[in-house]
Amino acid sequence: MDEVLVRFVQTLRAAGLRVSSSEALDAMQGAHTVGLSDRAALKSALRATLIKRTDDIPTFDPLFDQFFGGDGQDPQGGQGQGQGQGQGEGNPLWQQNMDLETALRMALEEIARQGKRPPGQLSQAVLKGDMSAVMALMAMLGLLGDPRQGQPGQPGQPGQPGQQGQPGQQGQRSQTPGRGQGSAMSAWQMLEQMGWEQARQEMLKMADALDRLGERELARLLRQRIREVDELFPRWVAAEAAEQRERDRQNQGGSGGEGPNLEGVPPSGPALTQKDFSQFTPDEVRAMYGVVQQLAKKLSQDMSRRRKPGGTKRLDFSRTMRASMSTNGVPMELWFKQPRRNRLRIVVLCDVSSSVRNASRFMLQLLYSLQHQRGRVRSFVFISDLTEVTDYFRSHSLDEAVQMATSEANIQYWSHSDFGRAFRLVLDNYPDALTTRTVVIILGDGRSNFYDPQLDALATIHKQVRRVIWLNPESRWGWGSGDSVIDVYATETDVLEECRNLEQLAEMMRLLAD
Amino acid sequence: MFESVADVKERLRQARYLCSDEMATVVFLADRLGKPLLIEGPAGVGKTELSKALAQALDTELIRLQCYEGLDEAKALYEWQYAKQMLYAQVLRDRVSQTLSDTETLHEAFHRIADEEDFFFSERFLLPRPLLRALLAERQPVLLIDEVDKSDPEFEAFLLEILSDYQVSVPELGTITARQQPWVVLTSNQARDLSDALKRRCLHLFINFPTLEEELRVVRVRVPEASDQLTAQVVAFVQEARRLALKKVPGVSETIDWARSLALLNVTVLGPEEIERTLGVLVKYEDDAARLRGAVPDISRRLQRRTLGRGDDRPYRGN
Repeated sequence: MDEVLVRFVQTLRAAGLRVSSSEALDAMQGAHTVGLSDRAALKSALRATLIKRTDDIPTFDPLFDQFFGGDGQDPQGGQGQGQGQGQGEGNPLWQQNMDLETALRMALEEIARQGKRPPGQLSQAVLKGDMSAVMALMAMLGLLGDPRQGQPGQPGQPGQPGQQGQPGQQGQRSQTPGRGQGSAMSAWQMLEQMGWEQARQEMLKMADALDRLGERELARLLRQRIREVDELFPRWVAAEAAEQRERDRQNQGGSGGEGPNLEGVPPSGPALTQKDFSQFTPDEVRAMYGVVQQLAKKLSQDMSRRRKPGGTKRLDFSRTMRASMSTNGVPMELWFKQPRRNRLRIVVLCDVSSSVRNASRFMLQLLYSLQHQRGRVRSFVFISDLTEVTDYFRSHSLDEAVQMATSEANIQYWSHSDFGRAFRLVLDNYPDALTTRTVVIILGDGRSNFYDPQLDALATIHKQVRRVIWLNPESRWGWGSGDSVIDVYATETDVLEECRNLEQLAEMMRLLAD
Repeated sequence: MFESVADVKERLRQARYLCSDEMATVVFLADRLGKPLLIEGPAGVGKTELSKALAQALDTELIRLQCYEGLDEAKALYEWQYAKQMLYAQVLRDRVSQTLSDTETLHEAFHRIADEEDFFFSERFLLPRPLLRALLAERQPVLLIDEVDKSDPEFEAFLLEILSDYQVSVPELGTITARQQPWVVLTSNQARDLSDALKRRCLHLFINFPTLEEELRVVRVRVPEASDQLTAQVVAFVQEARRLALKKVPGVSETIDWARSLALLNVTVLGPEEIERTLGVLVKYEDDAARLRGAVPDISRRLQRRTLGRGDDRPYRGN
């Protein structure tokens, strides 16, 4: 049994979960305590001992079901009964006398579905009959797809093409030529394709090896399987292509050539955090909500660590004296003054014209998520008119408020950005917003549509507040060209930074803390 | 000690705490492995309640340490009682001068006092705070470290020594080892991520909002005075309410409070008017109340349809 658990721990690690050896030992003890017969209890025991982050539970559950067999009821409650996974229901994988053929088929199906995983290792593992390695690799495969769908034994039904990373999209471009995919996309697809090709070669080599070993039947099965997978491709590809067309239609007006499908699954972070704000599709904007939220959480953790008093404490004399009364006037206990938290007042001026709306959206979300760390935020949105949207955030949930602030506020959306007027309006209508403790953050591209920039208005604001920070979601290369007056405004800002993606935005938020 | 998972369930039930199989299993494991139990989950799902029930089930003392920002060792572990020490010194002053009367030199006097200094730093003047109390307890206590995510990282690091070895060092006294290894429960609302080192030492239990059936059973046990119909209506309503985007999603504790308030008001059937009057028990923010108020007709309609259609026992998960 211990061996089984060690394999399971390896599987978890292969899936990217961090499991320490002391935790593995706990898991063994735990498994011994509850026994293996009750699958639900075993699941609870292993989850309690091995998984310490709530976020990891969704990764753990399917892995457990995959590894120990399907019918492990989710002990959290009715939902999500692990599906019977292709092989015998209730027969745990590790216990099942799984023959090579089954293993091969499952492995192949997995590879066929994913197309890009290290086929060399997998086929070798299969060849050696090394089940734990197969398991680990398959776990990895399962995870790299959508965990909710990534069950082995059910190769991608042709009707369900939403998953990314369909193998070998060989036919795709030839079938649907001239669909104007960006070059990055094609390269990505080519990689995918190479993954499958490589896997295919490996499998064929393996079949040869099996032949030599005298396992003719197996070799035949293997070749047949490869053929089947080959035959399935066109159907997958066709379905995928249809899906893609559908998506393109939905996103019309959005920029073309976006990466993998984002529906449902928020994709891995780095790609999106580095993606240019202007290139987001509506789906991605929705997916981003969670990403921004996580970022806010992380930032606020960093910040609370940073806020720790580093230097001098100031003695609270009166309190120390009061405390010394109980010790006969001897100051045994020293009391110090609470370091005063420097609460900033932040005033955000967001351009919400369509060119920079996404940037505004994410910044508002971040700022308000961090509000308790950073002090009070007052927010204004403008295009040519300016209106305060602070109240939205008071009375609505964050995502609604952001949505309202950037699209439903009481301003005319068909007009052109007029920065000068916006600054003037702040001065005239909201003079109380500007104090010496105020940091003004302006988010806009500084393209004033040839209106008067009214630099003196910004100068007046600058004089009244602590800092003026301008974040420009436009690439630095474009600054100063055409109707861009950002260079003019630069003289009246303390910080002027390009802020085109989430990473840069997060960096700016950190800066604010200092 | 618990005998089995079923035993855990049964004894917690006697303490009026209903738990799922998973919770019982994990509690049983923590008991057997002698490991601290880290419970995470949204507010009001019964994290703290579980430890109270545990203490009751094990028939032992519950020692509670409420964490907050700025909590330090002195408040969590022990303090010297300066005032008492001072008082003793005052009262014994004469005796001290007597002791010192036959000394010739300052040096001699100093050493004579030094011989007695153990007296001043003895357990007599030590004021044990929750952690030390848990270590010194004669009977295995349940030590609840509540909302550990609210404490500072420094304090968390300090907890590590206690949680792994069940001992602490008091500089003046040396190392104090637990008489009985306490049953430790930590709870967290996930305001921040706890350190890996701390998590590694604990068993992890995530409690989510209960399903309709689970919550029904809980409320029936906790609020027996409410009529069956009222309980069913209340729970169904709360389960629906959890789906709204509220600032503070009502937990089981709110459900219980609400059912109790309604029962107190002799309500037997939940109608819009009763909801309106008692909404404050369920939600704690004005915005949430407004939002919920707006959703009441919608929810009522849905609940009604379900009762008419398939009976109100259709399982689904809240939230």
